[in-house]
Amino acid sequence: MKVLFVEDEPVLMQEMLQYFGTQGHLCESATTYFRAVDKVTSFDYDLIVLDLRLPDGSGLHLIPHIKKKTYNTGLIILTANNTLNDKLEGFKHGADDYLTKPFYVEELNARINAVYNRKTLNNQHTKTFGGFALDTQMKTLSFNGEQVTLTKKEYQLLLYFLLNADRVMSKSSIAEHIWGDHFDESDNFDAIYVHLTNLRKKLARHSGIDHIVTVYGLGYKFFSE
Amino acid sequence: MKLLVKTSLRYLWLSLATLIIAAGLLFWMLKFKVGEEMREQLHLSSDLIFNELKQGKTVMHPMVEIEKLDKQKFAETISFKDTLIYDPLQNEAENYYLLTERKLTNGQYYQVKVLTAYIGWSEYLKTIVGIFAAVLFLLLFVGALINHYGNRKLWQPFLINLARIRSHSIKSENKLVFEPSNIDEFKELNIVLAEADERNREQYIELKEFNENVSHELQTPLSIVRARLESISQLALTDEAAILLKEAKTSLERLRKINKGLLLLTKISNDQIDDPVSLSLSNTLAGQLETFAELFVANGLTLDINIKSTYVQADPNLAEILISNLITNTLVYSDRPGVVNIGLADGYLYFENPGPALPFSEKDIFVRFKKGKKGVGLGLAIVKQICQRYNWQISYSYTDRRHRFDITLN
Repeated sequence: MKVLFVEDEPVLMQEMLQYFGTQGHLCESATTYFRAVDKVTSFDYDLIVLDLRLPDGSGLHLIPHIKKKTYNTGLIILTANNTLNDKLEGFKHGADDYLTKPFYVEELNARINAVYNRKTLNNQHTKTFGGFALDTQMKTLSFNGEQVTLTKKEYQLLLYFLLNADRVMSKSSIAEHIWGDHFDESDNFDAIYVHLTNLRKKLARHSGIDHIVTVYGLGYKFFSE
Repeated sequence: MKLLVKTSLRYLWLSLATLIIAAGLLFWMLKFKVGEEMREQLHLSSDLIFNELKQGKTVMHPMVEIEKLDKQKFAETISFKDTLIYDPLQNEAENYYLLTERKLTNGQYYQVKVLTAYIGWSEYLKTIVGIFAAVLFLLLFVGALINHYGNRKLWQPFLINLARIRSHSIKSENKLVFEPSNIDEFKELNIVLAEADERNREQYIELKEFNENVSHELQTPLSIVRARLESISQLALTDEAAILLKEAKTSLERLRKINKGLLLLTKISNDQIDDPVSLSLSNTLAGQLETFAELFVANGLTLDINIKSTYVQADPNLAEILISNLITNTLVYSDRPGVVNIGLADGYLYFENPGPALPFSEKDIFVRFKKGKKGVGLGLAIVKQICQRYNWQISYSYTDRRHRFDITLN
């Protein structure tokens, strides 16, 4: 997947490039509106991650350039402004998704994948790991052809882990992904624990391997091997 | 009381007092002048009669009574008197003015009584009071007319400006334009109001910009810190470092939530919220409950839900925040295990959960940063603010170890 990141903040840009580079994507960057227009009009991208506030212009104005070039480019908008207005404005202009700063790169990764899967027609629906196959279209899991029943939340958790394999994910990243940002209270990480425990048991029952490890004090890490 | 009514009333009382004094003066003057004139006239008649008597004529005048006095010695006297004489024609006693003069004429003492009829003073008084009452009535009528047409026109610029100020929103792009007036006071008022409007607009814009700045300027460093802390999490850390990092992350999340909550509160109180739309609050509630259902189960709480289809006029984002804040509140502050009652029916929304009494006064429940041990302390302040925005009445009560929030929707 070829992705263009348009973001003026160098640290965030570095974080995104670093993480998505390891995801096997071809990543490019633009830190100004001017450079973004240049890139968008010269090259084709599968997906563009666009910060609305750029030092030399609004990211919203870039959208027509993207749409003129190709209708198939996925577009995810980033903004510091959490108002419905901006959200509606973004969708009206043809954004596929919307993420408010600060965000977790794992969440952005999940959104990128979702948008990419929606946009591309010849998309591969199945993700495999250690004998398991997760069908992202049917939302089902199987182990060597045998069906593994998952609850909705367990499926969401597994997909989130799978997309962000080999990364330590904090509990609040997971909570935000499953319950949204309204999920306000850290002591309800218990709920994550319950879901995770069930998921781990189900996976281990079939393969005999615990794919998820607890990282002391920091969260969880998923191993696809 | 309207200003016009008030001035009219003052005018009425003042007119009344003036007219009473004027009527009194008029009566007194009339009485004095008319009395003097009648006395003069009676004197003259009396003098004429004595003259005729002196010439030895037989005097026969109506309203005159002449009497020869037998006694030889009389003091010459003259006296006036009010008297009542019966008038057979009108069949009533009438007022007369009577002059009695005793005088020595041609060696004979005569007593002459001269009468003249007059309208009684009480009649004068009645007439005067009647006329003045009519004048008072006329004054009031004319005054009312002047108020209604004249003053109304006079106050017109003021009333127009009042209506403009009332309908003017600080959010409006346009400045307030005042109706000009040639009255000094109104001119001055217009200038002062225009200045105040300008100041308010400046402050509003500043506040708005401040919010936008805070939103952007704080979110970016928050994003950077969050991203960097997540990156540090990926490194091989000792347990000690992991705990330090965890604490830093917890505080950062807290900071992020406080920032987000304060911005939301400011936005609502500054009216920087989109216009309300008709939305199904029952759908919002059901959707949020579905999201949180597992958290209730995980926390050993049983949900007792009663939802009927309810539509309200509100911003969908705010409605969702209101509901999720109240759900989170019941979730976090419930005794476990326990039963949580949540309902929405007939324009009425409630959340009830078991739990220990508040560690602070009940009236402070919606105050910012008044909180239990958990949360950032903005959730219920936001709930209250949203309710106020849509004129929904929210109340809190605590009975039988159960917390209860009731919201009456309009």
